[in-house]
Amino acid sequence: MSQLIDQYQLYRIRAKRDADAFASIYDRYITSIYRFVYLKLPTREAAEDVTSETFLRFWNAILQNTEIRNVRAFLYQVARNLVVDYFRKEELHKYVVTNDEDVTSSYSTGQVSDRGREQKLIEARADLRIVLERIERLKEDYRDVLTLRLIDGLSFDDIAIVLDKKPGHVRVIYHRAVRALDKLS
Amino acid sequence: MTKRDLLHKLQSVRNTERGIVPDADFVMRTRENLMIQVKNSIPLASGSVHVKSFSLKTFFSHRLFQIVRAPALAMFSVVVTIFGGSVLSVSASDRSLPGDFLYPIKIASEQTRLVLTSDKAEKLKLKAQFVDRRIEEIKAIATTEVPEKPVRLKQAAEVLKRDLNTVKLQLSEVKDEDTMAAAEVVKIVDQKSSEIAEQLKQVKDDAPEEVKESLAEAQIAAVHTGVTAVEVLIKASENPDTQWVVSEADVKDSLAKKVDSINETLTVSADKLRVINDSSMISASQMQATGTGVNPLLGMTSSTADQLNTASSTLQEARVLLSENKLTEISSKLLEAVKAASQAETATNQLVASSTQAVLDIPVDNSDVQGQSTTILNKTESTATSTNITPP
Repeated sequence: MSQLIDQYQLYRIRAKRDADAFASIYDRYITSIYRFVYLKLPTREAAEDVTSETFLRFWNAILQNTEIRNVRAFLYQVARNLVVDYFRKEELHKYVVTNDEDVTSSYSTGQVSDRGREQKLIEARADLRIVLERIERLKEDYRDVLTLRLIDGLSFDDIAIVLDKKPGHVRVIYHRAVRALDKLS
Repeated sequence: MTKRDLLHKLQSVRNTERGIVPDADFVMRTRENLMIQVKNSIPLASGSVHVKSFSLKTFFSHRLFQIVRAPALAMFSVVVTIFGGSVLSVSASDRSLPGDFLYPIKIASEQTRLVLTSDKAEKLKLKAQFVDRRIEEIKAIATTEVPEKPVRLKQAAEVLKRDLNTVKLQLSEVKDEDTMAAAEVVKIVDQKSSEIAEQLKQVKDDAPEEVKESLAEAQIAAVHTGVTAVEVLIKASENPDTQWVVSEADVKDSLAKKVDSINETLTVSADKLRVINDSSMISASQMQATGTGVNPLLGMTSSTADQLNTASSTLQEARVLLSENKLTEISSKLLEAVKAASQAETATNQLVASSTQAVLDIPVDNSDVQGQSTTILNKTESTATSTNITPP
């Protein structure tokens, strides 16, 4: 149903020049894309930059008449590429844990952040680093599928679009990756 | 770090990620900036943008279109033909109860929704919601003054039983899904079936005598569905893909609750039986004194006590299996205990009815006997909370 709504909004943008349809897609996905990049990037500012750049690229893709079969998966694909680009540009090969006290994203309730909540975000970032370091020895495909599935909660079909693979192949990779975790321990 | 630790860390990261909310200022600022760009570039873009002709395929992928087209058209024609295609009648039927004119439309619209859902886990989730509606219908009939209440209650119990059996079949279909979504749905089904069994127990207590058996059967079906759900959960707890949605502790907790619930049924029946036994002794001595024969209730209480004993020892075996962590063996034992407990409960309830009648039939000083039967009923209620099963 959600895909159907997205396709309808795309149709409105392309056929009816409806700018509000783009706003609807933005409203629907802004939080999930921000969450997707937030813990993977070292600072809040970087997460905000990557998030807004993702939607800008999405708009450019619409202008260039790029075929978008699944808006959600397309946005995740763009965001993921931007995160990779970020680290490439910064010449950082490892994910960095920050203790940046200036982090202001609110947690869960949307209320003004307090130290307890921010501590939780910092711990989650550290956990993510530990997990990523741990699975660093796995094949790149395995790492991607595991994080997209288990952390970001994407469906196999969406992961297939993000990684440009077939859904069946993604399932096979996922099951092999889970089995490979046994060998790591 | 073990694989389990790793999965726990992943889960914890995921939980934290779910709680992250972007700064409201950032969201608004970015939205405004983007909308300025969008509004500025839309007219320029219109010339170059090629818009496909509008059709259903604009929204569905080719594959999805092929899958959905046939059943959707078939169901659409069926609904239009049978119900005249009135959306209003479907909407009005949502509030209908078993026995109402519009009730078949409600059931048919549910069937339509199920047919149009292809994902097995989603189908199960939908059916579980419909089962929830069934128990609400039973409660609505039981608590309001409706004509032909016993007939309608019986019909509602039958529909619920049928739906629970469908859920059981669907559970066996999702058993091999091995997905987190399926495991989460099965967890919901397990929880709901326990709630339904509990609600049925309450309705049954105040229901007319002639529908108690139907309600008891629906109650067994609910427990049976719960046990089937636990069987699937046990499998999920052993699977690395799903074990962090369903842990072994979750499964044990659910099993322990089921054991407690069966134990409670047995305790209530045992208490009732004890009261009946006492009263049978009294009336037997009165019969002997007046020379009117032997009280037949004495034989019946001993056979019911045997049934209770069987149920109680089966439950004890299930409890032992649980303490020894033999989770895969426990479900069949629990089902056995449920059936035995239910049979004993039905037999006990029949005895309660017979014993009241028997006491009234004794040709002695009526005022004394009436007093005793009232005492029996009061005693039954007051001892129902006891927890030790000591059959007479």
